[in-house]
Amino acid sequence: CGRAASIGPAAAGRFTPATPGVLTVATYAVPITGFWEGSADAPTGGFEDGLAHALAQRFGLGAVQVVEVPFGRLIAGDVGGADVVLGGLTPTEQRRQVLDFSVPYLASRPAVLVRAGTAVPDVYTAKRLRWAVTAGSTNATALAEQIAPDPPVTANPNLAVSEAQLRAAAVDAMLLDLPDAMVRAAASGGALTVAATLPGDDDIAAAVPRGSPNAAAVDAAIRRFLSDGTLRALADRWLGRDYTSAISAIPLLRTGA
Amino acid sequence: MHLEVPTGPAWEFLLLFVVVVAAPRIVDLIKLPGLVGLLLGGFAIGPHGLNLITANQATVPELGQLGLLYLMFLAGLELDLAQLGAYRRSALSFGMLTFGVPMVLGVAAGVLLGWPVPASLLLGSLLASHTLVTYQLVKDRGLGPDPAVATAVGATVFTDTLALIVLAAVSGSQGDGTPVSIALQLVVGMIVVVGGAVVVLPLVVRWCFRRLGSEQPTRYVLLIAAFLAAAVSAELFDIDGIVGAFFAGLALNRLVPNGSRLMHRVEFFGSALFVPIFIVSIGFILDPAVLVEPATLLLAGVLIIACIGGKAIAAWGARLLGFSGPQAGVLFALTTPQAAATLAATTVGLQLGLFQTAVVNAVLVLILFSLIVSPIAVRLAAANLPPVVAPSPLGSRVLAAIPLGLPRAEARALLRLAVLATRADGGSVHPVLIRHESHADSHETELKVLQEVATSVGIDEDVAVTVDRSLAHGTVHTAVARNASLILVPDRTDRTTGSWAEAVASVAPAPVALVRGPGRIRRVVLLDDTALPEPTRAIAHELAARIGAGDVEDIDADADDARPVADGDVLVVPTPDWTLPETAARAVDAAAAVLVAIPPPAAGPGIGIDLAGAMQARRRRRRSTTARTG
Repeated sequence: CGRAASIGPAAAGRFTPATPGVLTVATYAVPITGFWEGSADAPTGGFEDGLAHALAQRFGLGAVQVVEVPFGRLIAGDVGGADVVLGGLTPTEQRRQVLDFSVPYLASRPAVLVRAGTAVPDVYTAKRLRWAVTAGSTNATALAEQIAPDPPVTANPNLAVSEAQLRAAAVDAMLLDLPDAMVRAAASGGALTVAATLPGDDDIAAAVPRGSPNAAAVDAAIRRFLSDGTLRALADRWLGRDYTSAISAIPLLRTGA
Repeated sequence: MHLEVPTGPAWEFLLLFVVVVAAPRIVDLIKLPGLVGLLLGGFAIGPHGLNLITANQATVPELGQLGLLYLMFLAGLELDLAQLGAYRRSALSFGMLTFGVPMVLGVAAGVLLGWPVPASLLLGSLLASHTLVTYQLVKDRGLGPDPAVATAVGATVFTDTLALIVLAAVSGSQGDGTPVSIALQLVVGMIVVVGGAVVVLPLVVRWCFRRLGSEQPTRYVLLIAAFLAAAVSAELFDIDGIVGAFFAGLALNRLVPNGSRLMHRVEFFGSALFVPIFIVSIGFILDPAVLVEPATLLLAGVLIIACIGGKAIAAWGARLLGFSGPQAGVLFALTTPQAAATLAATTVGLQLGLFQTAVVNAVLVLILFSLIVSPIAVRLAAANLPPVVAPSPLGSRVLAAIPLGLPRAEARALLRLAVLATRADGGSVHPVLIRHESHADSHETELKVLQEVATSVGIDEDVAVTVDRSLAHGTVHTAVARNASLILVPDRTDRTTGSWAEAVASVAPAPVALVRGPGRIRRVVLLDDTALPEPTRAIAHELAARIGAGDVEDIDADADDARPVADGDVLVVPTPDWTLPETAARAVDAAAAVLVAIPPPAAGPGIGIDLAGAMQARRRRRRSTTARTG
C-alpha cells in the first residue's frame, strides 16, 4: 500500500519541508501591522502569522520559522530557502515566471482611505480631492488611470508618510491595498475610514519557488481554508473587527475599469 | 494612434461567448460532443493556454459557480420520473449496480493511493455517477422505448441522488466540530434540505405560479429563485449548494414537464449561458504541464479502469436481471459518460481542498475518454438491437379543445381533467380556443378569461386560437399540428356537423374523450361494460387510472346495486355509440358530476393500449394506494 501510495499523486498534494518538522515562511518585513506582529525571531501574531500556523498544522509540522527576505529578492524568485512565502504578494505574469502561486487568500483591490466624515461617492468627487500614494506602486497606476485627479498627486516613499499627511489634512485621501486600509482604519480609533474601493483583480496569494513540489499542497490548503472559514476567522481577528462583513459593505467606485 | 490591449468584462465576455458558440461546432466536425469543445476552448483562452483571461480574474469562476448550480438543477429537472415509475424495479436494481461497483472500485483506488477517507469517498462517488450524454444518440436509433434504455434513464435518478448524498456527507464532514456534531448537522441538514425541496418548494412554486406567474418570464425567474433558495438552505448546514439545487430540480420535475415552454426556457438559458460558462471555467484548470506528468497520467489510467471497468461490470451484471447482451451493451453506453455530475463533484473536491489540480486534470482525461468511448459503444450495441416502435403515452401531449362560448365552469373542469391526464407521463396540456370562421365577434375577452382559467389549474402553455370552417375541423387540424396523444372535447353540437365528437373522432390522429359537466373533481368512477369493444374500454380504463392517480372505483353499469352518482364524481364511461348513458347524463345535467365518455371509434390509429394491460396496471396502482393508506 505504501508503494502504491507513493506513485500516484496525493489527493491534496504532499508537502515536504526544507527542515523536517518545521514550516519555514518568508516575508519581506516583520512587523507589518495586522499581518506580522512582533519580530521575525518571535512573531506574536498577525493574519499571515496565523495562516502560517494553520498551514503547519495541516501539514503536520510542529513549528513555524520566519525569515525576512527583501521584497526585490522575493519577487525575483529567491525565497531565501523558505518553504513558502506569505508576504502580501500579488501574483503577476512577471512574478509567475519565477514563483508558483496558490489561489488568492485575500482580496487586495485599491481602497480609498480618508478622514472620517469625508465622502467619496463617485469619480467626480474623487477627481477633486488631493491624493497621496506610494511612489511606483500599482496603486499609483490605478489612481492615474481610474481617477486621474485634478490636483497633483503626492507620491511618497511609504504608507506611513502618506498616513501622516492624511491625518494632518495635507491630503484628502490616500490609495492603498484594501487589507492595509482596513488595518489602518481600525487602528485609528475612528479618525480614518475606508470610503470606497476601486475595481481591480489584485489579490494576495501564497507563493513557492517555481516548480516546487509543494505547490499543489499549498494550493489545496488555501482552498480548504477558504471553504472552512479559517481565513475568515483570521481576517476578523487581525485585520479589523468583522473584517469580512465590513469589506462587503464598502461601496465600489464605478470607474468603468 | 495608441491602441489599448483589451481587458475588462467586455473583452472577457466576448471571449467566453466566442468559445461557447464556436468550440462545440469545431469539435462536432470530428464527431466529439460539444462539452469537449467547451473544455478545450476554456483551456485555449485560459491561463494555461493563450492566457487571454488571466489566472487572477474572478468573474468567470464566480459565474461558473452559478452555472454549476444551474447545471445540477437542470439535471434534477430533466430526469424522466415517468420512466422511473414505469420501470422502477429494474431501474432500482440496475441503479444499485451501476452506482455500487464503480463506487467500490473508486474508493479502493483512493485507499490504495494513500488518500484520506473523505477524498476516497468523493472519488468513488464521482466515478459512480453518470450523465445521459448519449441518450439522444440512442433515441435517434429508435431505441428510446427499449426497456434497457428506460431502465438506464430511471437508474440515473438513483445514481445521481446517491452520488449527491455522498458528496453532501463528505463536504459536511469537512466542517468544524466533533464527529457526532458533524453527523448530526449533516442529518438534520439533509432532512431540512430534501424535505424542504420535496415538500415545501412545489407548494410554494405552484402557489406562486397561480398567483404571480401567468407570464413566462416571471415563471422562469421564480424557478431560478426556487433552486437558489434550496442551494442557500443547503449551505446553511455546510452542505454544498449543488445538493440543494439538484433536489430542487427533482422536486419541481412534475411542475415543469419535459417539452413544456417553461422547460424550453430553462434549457435555453442553461445551454446558451450558464452551463457553458461553467464548463469553460473548468477548462481554465486544464494544464498540459500537469497533464503530461507521469503521476497524473497514471491516476487518469486508474480512474478510467475504475470507472469504465465498473460500469462495464454493472452492465454485464444487468444480464442477471434478464437483459440480453445487446441490451447490456446499450446500458453500458448510456451509463458510461462522465460529464456534469462528475465535473460538479470534482469542482467541490477542489474547492474543499480535498483534490489538487493534478486530480482535476486526471478527471478531465477520464471525462474526455468516456465521451469518446460511449458514442462508439452506442453504435456497436445499437447495431444488434432492433428499433422499438411504441406509441406515445396517452398523457404526453393532451389537446384540450374549447369552443367559443363554453361556460367558464365547464372549461375549467375540462382543463383540470387534461392536467390530471398528463400527470403520470409528465406530459403537457395544449389548450386551444376553437372558433368558427363565421363567428363575427372578437374572441379577445374570452381568450383572456380562458388563459386565466388555464393558469389557475396549472397549465404552462398559452391558449392558442384556431379559426376553421367547423369546430371539428379546427380541432383535428390543431391535433395534427400539435401531434396530440389525447384529445379532450366538450360535449357540444355543432350546427354544421352535428355531434362534434363524432366528427372529430372519425379522423382524429389520437383518442378522443368527450367531457361534459362543470362539477368538482374529487373521485373517479369507471362505469365499465364488458360488451363494448376492447379499444374503447382500454382507453377508458387508462384514462380513469390517470385522472384518479390509480384510485378508481369500478362500477358495472348494469349492476342492480350500482350506487347513485354523487357530487364530485368523475364518471369515465366507454359508450357503445354516440349517445351518453341516461343515468350519467342526468347526473351531469344536475351539475353533480363530470362525465368523460369514450365514444367509438375513439381508439385512434396505433394507440396500442391493451385492455388487459390497462386493467393490470390499475390493479397494481390500487394495491400500492391501499398499502400507502393502510
